[in-house]
Amino acid sequence: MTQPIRVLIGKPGLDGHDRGAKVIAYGLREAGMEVIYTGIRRSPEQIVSAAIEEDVDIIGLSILAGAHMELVSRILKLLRKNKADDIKVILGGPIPKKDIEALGKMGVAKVFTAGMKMAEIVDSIRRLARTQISE
Amino acid sequence: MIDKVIKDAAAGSKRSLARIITWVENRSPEAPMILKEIYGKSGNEFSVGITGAPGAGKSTLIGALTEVLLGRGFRLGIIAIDPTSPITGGAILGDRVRFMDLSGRDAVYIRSMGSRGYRGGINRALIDVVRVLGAFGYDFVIIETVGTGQNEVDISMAADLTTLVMVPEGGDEIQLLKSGSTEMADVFLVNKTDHVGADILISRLRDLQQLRGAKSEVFGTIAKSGEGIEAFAGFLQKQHQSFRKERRWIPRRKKRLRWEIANLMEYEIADRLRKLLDQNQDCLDSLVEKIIADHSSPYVAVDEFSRDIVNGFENRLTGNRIAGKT
Repeated sequence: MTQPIRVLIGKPGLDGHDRGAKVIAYGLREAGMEVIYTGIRRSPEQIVSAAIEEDVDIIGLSILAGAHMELVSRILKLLRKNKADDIKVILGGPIPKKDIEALGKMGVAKVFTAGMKMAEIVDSIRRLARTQISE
Repeated sequence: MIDKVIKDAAAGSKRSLARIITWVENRSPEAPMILKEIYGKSGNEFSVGITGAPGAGKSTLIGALTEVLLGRGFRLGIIAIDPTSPITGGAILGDRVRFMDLSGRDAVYIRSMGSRGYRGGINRALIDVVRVLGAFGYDFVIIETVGTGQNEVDISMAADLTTLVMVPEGGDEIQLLKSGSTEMADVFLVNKTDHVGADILISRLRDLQQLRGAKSEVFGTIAKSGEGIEAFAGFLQKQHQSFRKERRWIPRRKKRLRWEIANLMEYEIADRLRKLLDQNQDCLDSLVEKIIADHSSPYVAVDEFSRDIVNGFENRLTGNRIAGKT
């Protein structure tokens, strides 16, 4: 039996526009993944502690309001602090090009901006996921 | 490596506990070893199934209940089960959203599980995950199940006590008498008692409990505001206390153990057999030749081949019963 990839989808910070996150959540479910949907206005602490308890492969963050550098940095720090930095972090939102490189250096595995196709996202997640079929 | 993970989990690492739960849920190679190791430490957890139709307010109820029980000093595990798509194998596990405030509290552990295709039958992994939480110090394990309202027969296998949550809008009394959900519920809880029809529903449910000869009350709550939650929590606390006194062997747990033994026997043996067949292809080839040479059939060939084994099995099973021990 192949184990489903587990992805946590959350929106940290104050932005409440969750349509994008929901579209992704449904898309991942269609692709056979288990999506732990944690909703809007979550603190980095809540997201990280949920990700740890749920033993997810990937944390998918949706940040539309521009606070991505700060929020992502806090989340990555918390993951490291809890020895959970093997959980990969991906980010979706209108991220300026200049920030994408910096985010990559910080430790973000991939950034998805508008226009990327669901299939592309699913494919990226599959490759990033810790869970290998051989396990 | 596994020993270290167990040790870390026992020392309070949720990360390690999460890994253990994943291994157990996925039936990984690590799982049998871990389960054998922790079994002796499990059993003190009291598991409560919370079931009911979507919209009944189960998640909100669990959130409120957890706060109260935390206040009384208990450690709680919460397992939230959502349906896995039978088509894609994926799931949206969205129960956790409704109790995100509980995230990060040391005395609470929340895990979301997909039903992963087990609908009529119990997901065996659920029983083991409950045990794992018990082994690592959680007093209560609350299980929120897929809420169809009419097909919840499996939860009573995994939970020590099953609560059916209903709302006044949930239909007329005929609904109540339908088998399945009401049959296997130990406790009825009417949520949203501020809605019209609540009193009537509660009264009908009390009648039904009397008909069944059940002793427990019917609870009324407004989970959103917290009304009635203290009373329900108090009831669960009493159940937990009396359960602790009797230790682990209440009739339902015996039933669960029996189910597990039969299931393990079936599963383990089938698995062994499959592996042996894989490794002994030439035996199968020779059976094929024999069937052709003897003009017989697969049925005859297999019967002849396995008769001794099956008889041996039967002797073992009946012998055990007569001898009275394993």
